[in-house]
Amino acid sequence: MAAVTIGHDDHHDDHHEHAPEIPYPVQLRSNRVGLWLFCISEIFLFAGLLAARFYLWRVSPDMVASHPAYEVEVGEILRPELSQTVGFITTAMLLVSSYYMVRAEVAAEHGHRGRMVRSLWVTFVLGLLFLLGVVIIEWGTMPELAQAITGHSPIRPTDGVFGAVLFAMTGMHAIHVTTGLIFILILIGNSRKGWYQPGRTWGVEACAIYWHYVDVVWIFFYPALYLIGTVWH
Amino acid sequence: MKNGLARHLTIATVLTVLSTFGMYFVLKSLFALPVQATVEGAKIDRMFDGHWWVISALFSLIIVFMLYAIFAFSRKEGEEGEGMYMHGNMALEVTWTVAPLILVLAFGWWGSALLSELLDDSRDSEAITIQVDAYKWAWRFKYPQEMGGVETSTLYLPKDRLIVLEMESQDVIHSFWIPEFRVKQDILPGRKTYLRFTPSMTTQEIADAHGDSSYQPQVRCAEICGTSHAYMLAPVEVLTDQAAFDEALFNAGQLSADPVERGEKWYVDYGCNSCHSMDGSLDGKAGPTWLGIYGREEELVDGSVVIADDDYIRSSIYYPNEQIVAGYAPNIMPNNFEAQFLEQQQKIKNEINQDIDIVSDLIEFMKTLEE
Amino acid sequence: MVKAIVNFSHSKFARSFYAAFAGAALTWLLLSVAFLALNWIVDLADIAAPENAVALQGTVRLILAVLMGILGFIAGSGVLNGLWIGRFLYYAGRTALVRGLFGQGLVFAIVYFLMRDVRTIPEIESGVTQASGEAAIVLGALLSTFGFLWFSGVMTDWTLQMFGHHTELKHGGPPGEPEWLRYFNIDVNHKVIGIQYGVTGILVLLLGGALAILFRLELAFPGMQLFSTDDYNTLFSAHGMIMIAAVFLGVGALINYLAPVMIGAADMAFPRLNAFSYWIGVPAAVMLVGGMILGWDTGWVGYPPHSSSTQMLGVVLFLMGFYMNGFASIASAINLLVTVVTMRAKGMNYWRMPIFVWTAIATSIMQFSATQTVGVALSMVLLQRTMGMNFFDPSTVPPGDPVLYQHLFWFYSHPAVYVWVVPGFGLISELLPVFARKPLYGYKWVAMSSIGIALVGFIVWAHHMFTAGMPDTLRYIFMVSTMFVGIPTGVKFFSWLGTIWGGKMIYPTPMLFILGSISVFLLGGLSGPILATIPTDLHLHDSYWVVGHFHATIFGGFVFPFFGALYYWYPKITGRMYNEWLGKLHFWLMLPAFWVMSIGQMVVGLRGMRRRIADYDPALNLDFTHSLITIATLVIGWSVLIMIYNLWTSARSKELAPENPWGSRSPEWLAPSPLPEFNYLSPIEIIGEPYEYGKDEEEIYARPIPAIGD
Repeated sequence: MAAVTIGHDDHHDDHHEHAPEIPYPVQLRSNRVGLWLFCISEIFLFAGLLAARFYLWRVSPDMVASHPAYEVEVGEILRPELSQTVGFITTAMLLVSSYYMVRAEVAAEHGHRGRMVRSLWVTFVLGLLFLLGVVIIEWGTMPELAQAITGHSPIRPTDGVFGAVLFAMTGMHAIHVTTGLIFILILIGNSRKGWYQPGRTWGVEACAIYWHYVDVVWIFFYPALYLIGTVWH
Repeated sequence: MKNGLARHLTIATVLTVLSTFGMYFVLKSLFALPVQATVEGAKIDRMFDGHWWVISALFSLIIVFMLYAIFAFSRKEGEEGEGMYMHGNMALEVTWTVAPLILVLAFGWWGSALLSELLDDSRDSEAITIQVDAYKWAWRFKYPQEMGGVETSTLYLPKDRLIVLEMESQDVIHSFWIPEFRVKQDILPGRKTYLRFTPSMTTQEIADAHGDSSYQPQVRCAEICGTSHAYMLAPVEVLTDQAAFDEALFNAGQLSADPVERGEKWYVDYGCNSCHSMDGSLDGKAGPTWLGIYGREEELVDGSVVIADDDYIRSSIYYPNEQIVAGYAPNIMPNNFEAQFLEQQQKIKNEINQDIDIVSDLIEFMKTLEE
Repeated sequence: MVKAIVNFSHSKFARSFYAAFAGAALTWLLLSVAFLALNWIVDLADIAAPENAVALQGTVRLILAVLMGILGFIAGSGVLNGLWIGRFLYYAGRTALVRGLFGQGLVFAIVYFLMRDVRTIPEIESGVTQASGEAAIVLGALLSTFGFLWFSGVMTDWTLQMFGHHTELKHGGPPGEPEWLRYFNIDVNHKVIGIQYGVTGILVLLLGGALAILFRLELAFPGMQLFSTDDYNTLFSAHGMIMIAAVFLGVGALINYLAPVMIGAADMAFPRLNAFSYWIGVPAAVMLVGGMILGWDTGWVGYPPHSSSTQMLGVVLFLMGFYMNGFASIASAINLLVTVVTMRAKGMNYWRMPIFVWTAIATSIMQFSATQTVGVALSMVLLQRTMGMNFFDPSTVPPGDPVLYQHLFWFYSHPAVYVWVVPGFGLISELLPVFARKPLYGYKWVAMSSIGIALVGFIVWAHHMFTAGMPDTLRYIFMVSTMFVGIPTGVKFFSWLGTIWGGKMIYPTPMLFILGSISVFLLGGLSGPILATIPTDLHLHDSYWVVGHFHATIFGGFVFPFFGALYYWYPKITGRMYNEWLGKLHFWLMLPAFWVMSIGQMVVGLRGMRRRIADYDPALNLDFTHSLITIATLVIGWSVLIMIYNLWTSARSKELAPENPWGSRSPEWLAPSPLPEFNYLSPIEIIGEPYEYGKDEEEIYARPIPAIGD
């Protein structure tokens, strides 16, 4: 399996020889292992952020003393007030986009270029809508619009640990979504040039794994940000 | 060959045992701990002793066997051939995995038992609780209300009483360490941390045991906290008994009628001395010297020139980031002195009905520091 | 479009331009350092400098830089190749290093001048003022990394692929240029990258060592003689971080050069990613040095709230540089793991790999995962400083917490220490059998103990925080878990003893370094448990005992084995033999000096010497020991210079080294020295066990695959 053919010319001081051919199955296996290792590596990044969320969004002893009206206990998990509607819709869009990504991958394997490109475009649009939902509404880039949709003024990054952790988590995830969107555009562009013929679809497969991975990360982030804990006004 | 190996093993083992005792005495003399001046320190030092024995034994085991191998298993001049062909021994491998495991568990148990003793808060009610305020780069100690609520920059302690320190930082992380007491605890902003110990020697006894009767035990900050971290020290005065302790606190709480003397007290109490020298030296000092400061012309970072008069000095203490002298950085000096001073003045007013102004006292003190 | 840009960057004009940049920038840099040193000495000696000295220096620097720039532009075409300076500039204009540095400087300058007056946070709380230009420095540093990568050409292939161009993996140096120039250019060959790592590592090691010597001179006596306390703080902070970078580069050198050859592969699994891992370290190193120039006083740990509030702006460059180094760690670790999984030669199953490969696996497991969490910690400090996002300030509701940073930081930075020492263990286990002429004792136990150390390494991080104010329950748990590290480490020590026991040892320089490293690491290892049991740690925490322990661990676990490896594989890398006498001199100077230094540090630590202080209390009677440590440091410094002289001059000797000077069984010695472009002239297969020294009937470990019909 790891049989690597070695350059066989006798002038090994001539460095412009041909590289030993690495068979496509071997390279494909390397690529897959590499990408999965990358995904495992990123788990630690997102776990670090989640750890910060559960470490900081809690009731401290001082808060119990200074807010007697609140019936909370020390150590209880908190969350900021966020719009459930926005959270639900954006999450749903990201989940549905994964379905179209699967369609694109299957289409690529069967050599259906048109269907693949169409599915990729749907994935792209859904991903972009998710991103806009987070960046424009949840982040309050357009405060009036956000106010109108969610009914409360958007949280700012400088709003204590709520703002800081919220922006750090959604921001880090948004960077990954953006990368995924660029990746999709590259696939669409390159497929025009005849890339990704059946049997050589690693590019599509990589993008799909990455996109699903970013999706799964959000499946952990969404409850951590929107569902778990007592709302602290 | 097999017999030869057994002989080598026996010799090396005997040498290891001999070396262990030798090493222990080397360690005891080389790795001398500071004077031991707390009850808890005695227990901790017993654990140090346990470690010295383990270190001696393990060090001897590896080094003796290694040196012996060099002695016995080196290739001689002109010799050919390879070493013995052996791959390993399951029993040996298991032994040298399990034996350290037992040692680890033993020390884990010892360490846990001793730690829980050090953390024990069941006797806190009979202890003296002192609040420690750490800030860049000085210490303040506040004694309980029933002892007059005095605040000092020297840590006064009575001998043979359990002390509880309740510590908080005003700015960055600091760490409380008195090497003679064997205890250390980081001090965090926004959260209290605690330390418990029972001094068993007075300062004079510590100094004598140290071999230098003028030696001053000190609280030493052990966490990097910026420019003058090295000089973030506070003297420790352990007094013979409760009476001497009360007297020291009483004296520390007295206010002189002379503003200059009061100014000098504030200069030390509020840690001005950690950044502003009295003698013109700038070594390790984050701020301008106070020598000749009153009436001096100072060039500011924006190029303008001011005269250090009463108004300028007052505003520099209360609003330290507004008029920075050229060559110095903003945000170094704490900017809560106004609040601290007002609180202190109010307290003095309540207690002895005397109106004082700390900044004026400081200015009077500055005036005496002429070049 | 993309292709046109790539072509332009290789045009005659572009090369002349880069040569001009090299001339101007280097002149500027050298003169700046020279003037800095001059002014420092003038200041120390209390000589009255003329009023306008600084302005004059500035003018001289500018004029000379411009002249050298013009000279560089002319030399870039090759007309001045008769002069050494002309040749120097000509080739400088043809290196990826110069192109990258130009790109980094250009992007940084653009971002900085556009952004310098922007304050990203209003001054929210009293006392928190954001220095003007801080956000510009952070963003500039971030984007300048991409500037470096694109201008140097690391990203060229990937960028072309994005736009649908097929790219071939190019082997060999730049066409028509001398062979050595490939070491300064983007090269995908793992051996070239390994040597790039190694040489950079040694240079960075020298820089870090020079800083250490500077502040050791200050510490030789109580009181401040040479520096201000801020300068001192900067020096020790920079020493820490720069040395860490050096050790990472050294580990990268070992793994990149050795691991693919040892498993019989022609190269790493992802050669372009490999080049990326090395080159991203260069802009990161530039940032660290920049941080040192601006000054930063937090130590390499950068604990908030000190790091999030200090006015010494170098701290943000330090955080960015540290962050960027993380990309290199993660990418190279993934690359190594994939290579080992998919690229092994025929018959090379896991239990037949040279033992160093096992340690490379263990080290990569730690690197590719834990590095992410320190990235989170570092970026939190940066976000707090530049965006006002509060993670660590306790004044909000709910409160921020500085201890969170310490957890995230040490979750990486503790395993990081094992990342440095585990490959060193691999070298010890690899070399001992060769020089004792005996099989490695307990191969599987040794291999598994490396993995064991890696796994235990993940659950001990909080022992760095025993006095930090974390919940007491955690203190008990981490006290016991920490001591468990001793068990796999003990297995290593005993296996090494088992390996030399009954051998026929010989002592050329590499073996001396390996035995020396066992003694030094023993010192580091044994000074550890006393830090693990909390009652004794309460005295030792943040004292010089820790400094001594740490240096012994890293010297024993990395520096000594690394030097041993340099001597051992020197004939493989260069095809020449080093000077044995100078090698032994290096060892016999360095070992005793190191013992004195490390034990001295432990002695002063026990007596009450705190870490990271510029000045110490003379009443503690530490002066004598401190002077001794300083002398020992100087001896170590000189001994390393002897090594560099030795390696440099020996490479130019005419005499060739024997093919397998150590009689090793490891497969890399089957191939010619220096190794050919693709390592083995024909594919190899593994048909035996790796360490069968002294077996009665000869057993072959690796051999070329016989041609069909043979």
